[in-house]
Amino acid sequence: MSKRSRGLVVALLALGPRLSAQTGPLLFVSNEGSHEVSVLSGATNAVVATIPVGGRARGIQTSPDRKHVYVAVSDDHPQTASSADAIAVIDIASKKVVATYRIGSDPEQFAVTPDGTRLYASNEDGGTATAIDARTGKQIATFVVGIEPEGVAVSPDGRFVYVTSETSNSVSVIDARTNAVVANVLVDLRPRAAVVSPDGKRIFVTAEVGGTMSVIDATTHDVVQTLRLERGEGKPVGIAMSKDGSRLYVTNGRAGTLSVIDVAKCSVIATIPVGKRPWGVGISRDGRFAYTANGLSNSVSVVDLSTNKVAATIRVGQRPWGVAVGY
Amino acid sequence: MGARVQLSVRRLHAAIDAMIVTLGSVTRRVFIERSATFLSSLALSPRGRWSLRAPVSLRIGIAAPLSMPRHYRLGLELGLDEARHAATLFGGTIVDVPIATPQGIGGVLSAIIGAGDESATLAWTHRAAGSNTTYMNVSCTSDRLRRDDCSRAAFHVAPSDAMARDAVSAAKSSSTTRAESWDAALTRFGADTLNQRFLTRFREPMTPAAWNAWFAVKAIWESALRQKSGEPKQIAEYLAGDATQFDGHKGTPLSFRSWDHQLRQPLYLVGGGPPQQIPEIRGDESVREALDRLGGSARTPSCGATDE
Repeated sequence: MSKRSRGLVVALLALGPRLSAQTGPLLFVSNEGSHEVSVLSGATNAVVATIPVGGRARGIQTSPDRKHVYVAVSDDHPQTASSADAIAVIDIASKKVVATYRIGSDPEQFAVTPDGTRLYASNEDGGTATAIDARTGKQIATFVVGIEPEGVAVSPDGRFVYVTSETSNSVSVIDARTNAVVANVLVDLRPRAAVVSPDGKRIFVTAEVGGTMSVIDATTHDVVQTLRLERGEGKPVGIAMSKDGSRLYVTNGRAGTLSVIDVAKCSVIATIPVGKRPWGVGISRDGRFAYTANGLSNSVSVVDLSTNKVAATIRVGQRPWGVAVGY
Repeated sequence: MGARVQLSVRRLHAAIDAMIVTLGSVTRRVFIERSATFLSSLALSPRGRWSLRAPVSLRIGIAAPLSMPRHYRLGLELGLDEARHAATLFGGTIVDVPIATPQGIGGVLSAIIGAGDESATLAWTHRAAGSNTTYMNVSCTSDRLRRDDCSRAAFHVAPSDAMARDAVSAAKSSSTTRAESWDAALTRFGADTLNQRFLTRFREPMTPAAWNAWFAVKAIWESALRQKSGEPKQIAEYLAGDATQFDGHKGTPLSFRSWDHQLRQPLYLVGGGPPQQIPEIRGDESVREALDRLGGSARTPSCGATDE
């Protein structure tokens, strides 16, 4: 290969992710039933790869540098730690599992700190949350939180971690600097997922049985607002926020819909029918599309957020649980 | 059994209640972890504000624990443990007070939980009313307790005979089917995690009796936490509140009916194949409307007459 053509290859390799980004997002969908991750092209709305992970794949997140996707994997026997209970690390470029971190029994959801150095995971059956080093998988700290911990969110500055607990109806606030639980907040019934506003001032938490979304003030740790969704009977689970913090997107599992919420007004401005039992939801980096993992339809709905209509439905594995936007 | 529940250990001295309560049934490691968490929660928050809510002091009477069937006691034990876990996060103490007979009710009790038959439930309820506290019935299914002998002091977690009848008559098949408040094979809406917690702790499946007792503790503790008070009046007000609802791992919000204090809840048809949840909730009705199709047709305007 000539010097010139070698240079061209290097340049193309360097441009690779950028070129892909121009053609549409790359999405990673965890399938709880079929123990695999489906990789979708947002450009063609088609499955481009399937990655087996050896257990129930649930929580799924992208590293801030867009090089890796982490997926929580557990076996079919909660309460006992086994070799299948782990966080699998998928290399986005090769679409292969490149590492596996042990993280206590039954990991379900987790969050990555904005600097990419740590993962905070909930251990559903242990009443604990665990912090691990994102590069080595080494456990850094364990925190006692409420019973049946579930959703995890990190503030944009990485200082605070919020863990929901479904049985205790609570959100525990962890100070990542001191490695201590500094507050516990009562929210509505069966809190599932949480998201923090870009300015770090508000935490939004879905409550599956309460049928609502609670808004927590990050300074006072008070619930300042509770928004009822789908007459309180839609079973809200997944939540995502637009980059500018103006919109929230909540999946309603029982209702089979995606609620679009105007954050400033704290009101629902659109309700979009998607597949059956949508749980996880991801937003494309350009903010144009929302993707819902429809657990009982074995599909992902692609929602065009400019029209608030489903633009495509993509068949994935069995019982899709969550969606991570790779790039 | 007695060694496990340790109901008698915890009544010894009010001053050491908190210590005993925290130590009860937890390992040294867990105790140290929880203590550290509790102490850390006492620290000032980063913005100079105390983050701990006012601690709640809860005293739950346990009616005739020595004659209480085993699965109710196991359910109580899990419920108390979980409430105490939450108390380490939110502050507060939970003391369970064994009471041998209705005449033994004394001192301020946040509420009483009991698993008696119809006459025992009536006697306990009557005494509870006289002591301005609440009696949580976790076993007796008699319709009489919800109608002619209905009392404002009683709250019924156990489903009534009328509820079970309505559930069974809604069954599409099998004459052997019966309706229960819980089943160890349930998986949805976090039922699997509750069943696993019970199974891991006691090495046996969670029965309807165990669920009833577990839920009674959860409802009392949560009422106290939301009211920020363990006072019996506050607990009773919250339990009966029109906007009040609880999660019992059944996927729908549970609430007590205003007219007879019966817990609105889905039941499960068991006896043939996997448990089937009743009622099915139709798209055009609210959860409460659907749940009131189980034994909710006969309202009792005179409820409370027996308190006088």
